[in-house]
Amino acid sequence: MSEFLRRTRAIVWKDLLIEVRTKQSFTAMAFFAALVLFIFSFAMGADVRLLQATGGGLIWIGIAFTGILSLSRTYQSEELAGGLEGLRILPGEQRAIYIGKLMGNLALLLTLELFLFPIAGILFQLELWRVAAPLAGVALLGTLGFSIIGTFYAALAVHVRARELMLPLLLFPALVPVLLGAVNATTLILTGDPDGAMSSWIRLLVAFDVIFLVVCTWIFPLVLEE
Amino acid sequence: MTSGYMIAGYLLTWGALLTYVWRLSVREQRTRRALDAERTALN
Amino acid sequence: MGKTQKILGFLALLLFIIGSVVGLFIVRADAAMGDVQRLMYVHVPAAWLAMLAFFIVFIMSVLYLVQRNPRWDLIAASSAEVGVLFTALTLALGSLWGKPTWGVWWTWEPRLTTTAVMLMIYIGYLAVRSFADDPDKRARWSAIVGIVGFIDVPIVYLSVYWWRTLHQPPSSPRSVAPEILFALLLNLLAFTVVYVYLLMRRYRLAVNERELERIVAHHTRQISHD
Repeated sequence: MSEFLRRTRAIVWKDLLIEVRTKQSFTAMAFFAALVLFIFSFAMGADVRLLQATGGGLIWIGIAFTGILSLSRTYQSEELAGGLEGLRILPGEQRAIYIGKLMGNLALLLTLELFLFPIAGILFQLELWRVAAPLAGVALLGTLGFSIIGTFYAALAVHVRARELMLPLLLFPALVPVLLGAVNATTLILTGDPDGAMSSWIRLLVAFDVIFLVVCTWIFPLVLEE
Repeated sequence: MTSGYMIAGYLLTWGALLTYVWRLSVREQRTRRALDAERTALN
Repeated sequence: MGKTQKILGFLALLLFIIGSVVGLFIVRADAAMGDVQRLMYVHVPAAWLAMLAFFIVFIMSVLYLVQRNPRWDLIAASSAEVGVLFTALTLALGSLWGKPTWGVWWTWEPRLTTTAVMLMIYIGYLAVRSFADDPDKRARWSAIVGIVGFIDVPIVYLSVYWWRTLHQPPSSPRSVAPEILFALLLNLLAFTVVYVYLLMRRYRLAVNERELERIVAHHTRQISHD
């Protein structure tokens, strides 16, 4: 049993490193994220109060769009090597690959957000520093939800034609709870929470993350099946 | 108070369902013809 | 078999006519809302059948992944197509009811919003099917989407419900007059028979299309061997 755990941990670590190393275009993605936020400012107009009120939502849309870019390349290294199906490995190890890629995507996105949030704070004139801690918590929960479903559907989309279309098509409807939870929680942190609604949103995010982490990990081998 | 919206809604419902049935029959015919063609080609 | 389908078809048509006549002419209109309220007799059953259709997709998807019998996959696909039809109809009828009642074509009401997300999830299901060429892979991947999507729907509903009602007290439901309830149940029965008929007919078509696919693939292999 401990042998299996050891091998699983090795696979997770290996995949995490692959993901981190092959994301060479991190700088390009960070720039893209900043660009998206910048364009939002133009679209919303120069009304500062409007930007401040909707800032939470704009940040998360920026994260989602940038995240899609990163997700679509999650299985690139396997594709170049001749496909995931070529790997004759046990379901347990396939699940380890999923976890590894999930953590890779999560790490990448969280690092991107370290840049994204301050830029949003500047562009939308938001006071982020005071509430950095709760903001980080929400960012973690939301990005985790995004990565869980995203890494899963990216594996599926890779096998289907028109994958650039399929991934957003499948992902965005499924992400609605994460989006609502993260946007509302972030907005409440930034603008105040008189009714104490935060706990509901946090519970929603946690529930989503737990449920789909279990479901996606469990059925991931079915996606890779030959 | 007859409502135009109500009429539109019922027309839409009937229209959508009947159109779907019609589309099904078109596809059924096409598939049947294609199947017959393939089967005679086989012989 | 074809005879059963024809009888079912006539029964569906008959019930549907009776339901519409009762809903439009026989039952009294709601005192407050007027004739527009009669849309309830098509909008509500359409919504219920949409949910039933997707529940069938879920059950058939699970059955397929467990037993790998193609029959379950074809029933799932048929139910998804009919379900998308009913869901789109639900949304359109909701708009037609909403405009004269609340003055707007769309509100972010929880059930309506969830229905819209549901529509997108199952269009994604159909898109996966249309972009997958291998029948076994098509069946497997769409089954996965059908399962994950169905699990997501209640979470989506909960998140939208909280989004819309956390700061508003929920509206209390009025008691329903018995004749209105009768008309509603009658139309619900009619819609259910229509669904079963459409499902049966669509499934038969799916079986034939699958057979055609198999024969064409067989012929293509023969030709390439010569």
